[in-house]
Amino acid sequence: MTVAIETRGLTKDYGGGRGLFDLDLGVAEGEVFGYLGPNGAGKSTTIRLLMGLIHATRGTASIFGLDSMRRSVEVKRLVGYLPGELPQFGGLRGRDIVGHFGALRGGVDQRRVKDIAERFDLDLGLRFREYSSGNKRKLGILLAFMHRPRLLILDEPSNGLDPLNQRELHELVREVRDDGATVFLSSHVLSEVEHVCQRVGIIRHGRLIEVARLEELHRMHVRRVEVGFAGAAQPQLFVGLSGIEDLQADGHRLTFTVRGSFEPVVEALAGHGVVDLVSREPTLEEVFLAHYQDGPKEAQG
Amino acid sequence: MIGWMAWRLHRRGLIGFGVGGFLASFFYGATFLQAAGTTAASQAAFGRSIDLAARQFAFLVPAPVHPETLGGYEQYKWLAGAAIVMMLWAGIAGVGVGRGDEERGLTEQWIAAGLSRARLLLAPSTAFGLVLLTACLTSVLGIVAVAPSVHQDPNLVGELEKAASMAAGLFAGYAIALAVSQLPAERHTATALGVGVLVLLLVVNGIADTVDAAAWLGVVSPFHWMNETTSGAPGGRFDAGATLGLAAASFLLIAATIPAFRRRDIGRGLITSGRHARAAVRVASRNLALRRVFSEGLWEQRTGLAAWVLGTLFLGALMVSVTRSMTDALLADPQLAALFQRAVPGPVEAAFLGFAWFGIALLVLAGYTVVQVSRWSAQDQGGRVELLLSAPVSRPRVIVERALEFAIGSLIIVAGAYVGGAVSIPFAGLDVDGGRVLVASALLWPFALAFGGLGVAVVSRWPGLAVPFLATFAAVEYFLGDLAPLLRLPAWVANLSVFHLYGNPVVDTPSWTAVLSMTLIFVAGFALALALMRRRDLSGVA
Repeated sequence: MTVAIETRGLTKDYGGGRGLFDLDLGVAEGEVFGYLGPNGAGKSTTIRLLMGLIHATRGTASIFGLDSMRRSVEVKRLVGYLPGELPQFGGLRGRDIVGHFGALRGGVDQRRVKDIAERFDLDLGLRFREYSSGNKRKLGILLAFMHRPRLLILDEPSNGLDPLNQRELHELVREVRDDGATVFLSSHVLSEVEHVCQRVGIIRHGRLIEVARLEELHRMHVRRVEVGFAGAAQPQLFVGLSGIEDLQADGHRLTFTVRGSFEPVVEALAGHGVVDLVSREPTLEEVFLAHYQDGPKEAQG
Repeated sequence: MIGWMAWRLHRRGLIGFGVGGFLASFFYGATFLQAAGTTAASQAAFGRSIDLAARQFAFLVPAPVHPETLGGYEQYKWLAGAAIVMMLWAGIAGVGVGRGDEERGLTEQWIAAGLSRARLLLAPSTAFGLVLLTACLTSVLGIVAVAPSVHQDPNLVGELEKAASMAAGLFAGYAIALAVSQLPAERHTATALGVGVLVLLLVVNGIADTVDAAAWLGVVSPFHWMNETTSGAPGGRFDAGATLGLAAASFLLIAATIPAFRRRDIGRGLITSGRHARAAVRVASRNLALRRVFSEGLWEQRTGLAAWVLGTLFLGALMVSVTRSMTDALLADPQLAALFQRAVPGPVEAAFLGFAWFGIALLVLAGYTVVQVSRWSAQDQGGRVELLLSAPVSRPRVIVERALEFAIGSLIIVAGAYVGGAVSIPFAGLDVDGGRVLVASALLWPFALAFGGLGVAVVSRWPGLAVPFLATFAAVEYFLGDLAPLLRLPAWVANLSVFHLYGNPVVDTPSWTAVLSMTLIFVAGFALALALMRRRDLSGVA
């Protein structure tokens, strides 16, 4: 299988422990790869190295076998890129921006532009300064997807999108994957990555600490649960249950962390006067703390 | 707090106008004896020449008072012009406080944090008032500092009064721009409107000063009240009423702006127009100008470029139209004619046109270069270059297209300068060789390219520093060119100034070495830019 993205010992050292260190990563063609990490972990640095926007301190990065810095122009012909935030285009209208970037790529597929603009309900007749942050994001998505690239590099693509448009974006990602494109998608939201990705890499403090298939990720799936009982809270129901941690009872309420499957929890609660149950996704930092509290282990490629 | 805000928001302007103002007034003063001579007779002749020249520019700057003295000379030669430039700065600052922070989303955050709208106007306004006062004071202190070395009266009190009057007038300009910026929906309209109103008030003052029947019009212009104080010159007067009136009117206007700011929505102006319903556009533009990076750049700045061209064209026509009356007056006084011929040799009309009009055209092109570099800097820091490089566009291509965009833009302005001058020459009946005017106009282009080459080199590596660097460099180069002959500096020092390299090609045979030097600066600048751009890391959205 062709390798879409490959990095070997890729490092960008900003000093003071900041940057990206010794990244060895491979993403196969046709794969949707999620790149997870909290803010400041090094996700954008990785993406900017792949795009040839910044120079590596050491190591290499290649896209479809082409060095991302030395053969930058050839690489960009194959790539659609969505930056973390779109720059200002002032008084230019959306259609001008799309026309300009389309022309730089050798021409615009108007049907594709129309299709994406309609799906996201994006009016290209407005001036850039008139766009809301969500509409600017949609314009960025259009610029990244409009030329049907072989590889999409998306930096936190759903930031600023409402749930409906997030769903549309996930659908679009699945469509391009089905058409054979590769997607490298960074995010700090676990659930977003779960929607679309087949494999996930987790980065923290500039180091890749895990690369796993999505199903493997579920073993680190952690939920924080709060249960309200009609009577007094019954912590004894969970004693000895695997995956239950940090159990705390307070009057009628019980809070605990569930790691892995939810089924034993539901079975244990059945028939015990549960009046309220709230389960929330922990922040990525909480996941890290729960999963890597013994210290990070290095990823194996 | 106010002091910190003043420094944080306006440090570049304060350094530029404060330190720059001090240095400019000091060095102008240092050359006073070289320009005016050391005897009472030569200084009186010098004063008459300035009086004479001033008549032609009465619509722009007030009549000089005792220009044969250091204080009078500086008040006319430096402070009057500086006040106009600083008024533009004040106008832009007023619009920036009114709408700039809002566009960046800061106003929304501050209001959400519990700051009142009144405070959002009053605190930065007070800060800018302090900045203006400091800049005006340092500007006049240069005159006081240099006076003993040229055997002149320091006139400390008079100069401080002049600074206070300038600061009050400029603060009024700031308040006007702040008030006007509340009206339109968009910031760029607010900037055009705010600065446009100040330019209009300058014109109104000019009309009032030159047309007796319209003298009453002057009362509406802060320039009129600011110019009432002439205490920078010995024997001049300090109009305390006008100065205090300007300050009071400024605060009243700022206070009146508060309800307007409260009344309008954030992101909208007081004047709103209903948007017509129309079908959403879902297709990309087919505009041919968008196909290349350089043509997209030119197309995007088409309105601004048209303004530069028209402004230059108009200025050229204006300067040609005043040349005959100026030279007639010069020739009527043998002493003056001799003085002028010593400074600017050659047939008098051609020499004057080359000295006055093409001297201004050089400044216009230096200004255009700074604006263009500022645009590149904003694009770079704002992440636009990053997005451009995400398309199949190489880093060298970005630089080459910038060179092309700048070369074409500056060439269009140079063409405007030529048309404005050349078309008016026959109507003005000037005895000037059309071919020489064409050559002088054409040589403006390598001058602009030299500045552009330096600008693009700096912006390719240090985008944040490019504008202050180039603006400072242009100012130093200008003063070097202006002062080198007066200070009798060696030729190699004078030749460090691109202004000096340009010379006066309307009367002198063009120096092809100078042309080659300017072209080499351009080529070297862009070559350096290519190397620097290859090596650097690009920033995203700042």
